[in-house]
Amino acid sequence: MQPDGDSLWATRASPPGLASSEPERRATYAAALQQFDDLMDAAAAVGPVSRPLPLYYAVHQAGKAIAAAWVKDDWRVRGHGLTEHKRDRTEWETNVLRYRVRPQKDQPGVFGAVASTVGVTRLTSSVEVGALWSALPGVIQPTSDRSWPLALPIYPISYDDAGHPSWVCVGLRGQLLENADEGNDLLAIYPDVVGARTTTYQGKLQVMSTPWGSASLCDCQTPKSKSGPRNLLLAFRSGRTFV
Amino acid sequence: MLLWWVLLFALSLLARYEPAAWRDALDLDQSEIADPLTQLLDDALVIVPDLLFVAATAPGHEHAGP
Repeated sequence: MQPDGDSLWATRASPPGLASSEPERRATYAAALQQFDDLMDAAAAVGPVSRPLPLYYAVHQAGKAIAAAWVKDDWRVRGHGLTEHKRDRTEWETNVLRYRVRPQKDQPGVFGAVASTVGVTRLTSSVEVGALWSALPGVIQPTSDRSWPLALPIYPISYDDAGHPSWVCVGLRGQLLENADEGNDLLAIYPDVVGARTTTYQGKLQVMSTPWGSASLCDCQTPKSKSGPRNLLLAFRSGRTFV
Repeated sequence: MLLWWVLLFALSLLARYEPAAWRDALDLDQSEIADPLTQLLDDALVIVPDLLFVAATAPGHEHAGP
């Protein structure tokens, strides 16, 4: 793949973090990203039956580069940090969306090191492929049957005096809501908007059209939603607009 | 980015250790998820490098994972 001025490949000449000043880290960073580049080329060249193999290892090697740049102590981290959650194969064999993986708690590996570096909550338990896929914003949904919560875009409409979003528009990503109760049931499964309620007017659910499809209006100023607006604001400021 | 990471790990395990079940999932004549799964893997080629760029150059701006 050809690098552009704002790409991961372009950082090989000018590595970030500790890889900018420490030769061993710099060498690892550049080599791991060269492998990332080659593996992405390989992933693009093969069909979907084989693509996950080079694609995952491309990400893994990019993770090694990130560790070389940002992990302070033991930056030569090894291992995946993830493993299969072994179950009876009849539970997933005819539906790979039910296949599960889990973190290796005693061996955080490259995944754990990068998760710590980027400062996010790590994966703590087993998770299904369908749940992971549904939580990705901006990609096609795996199914339309609401088996797993979808990542939903949030657009703040108004803020309270403390600067927290008080009224937001939540993109539904094609999910149809018949009434306010259905909307509230949907919101209830998202911890970032706990306590938020769908907006109604004369008893009718308020839905608006957006360039991204239908969206429901939601009031976040309920007593139960103390943490919701803060999470929303943090998410919005950091560019994450999904619950 | 971490969501993609875990998802691609899971799909790579399926492709590596369960090739028959994985190929069946991608069979357009039999599997309802074959088309979205193929689109997902096409999208990954574009989306994942951009997310890794953010993680490598401004890791504190990465957002919550699973």
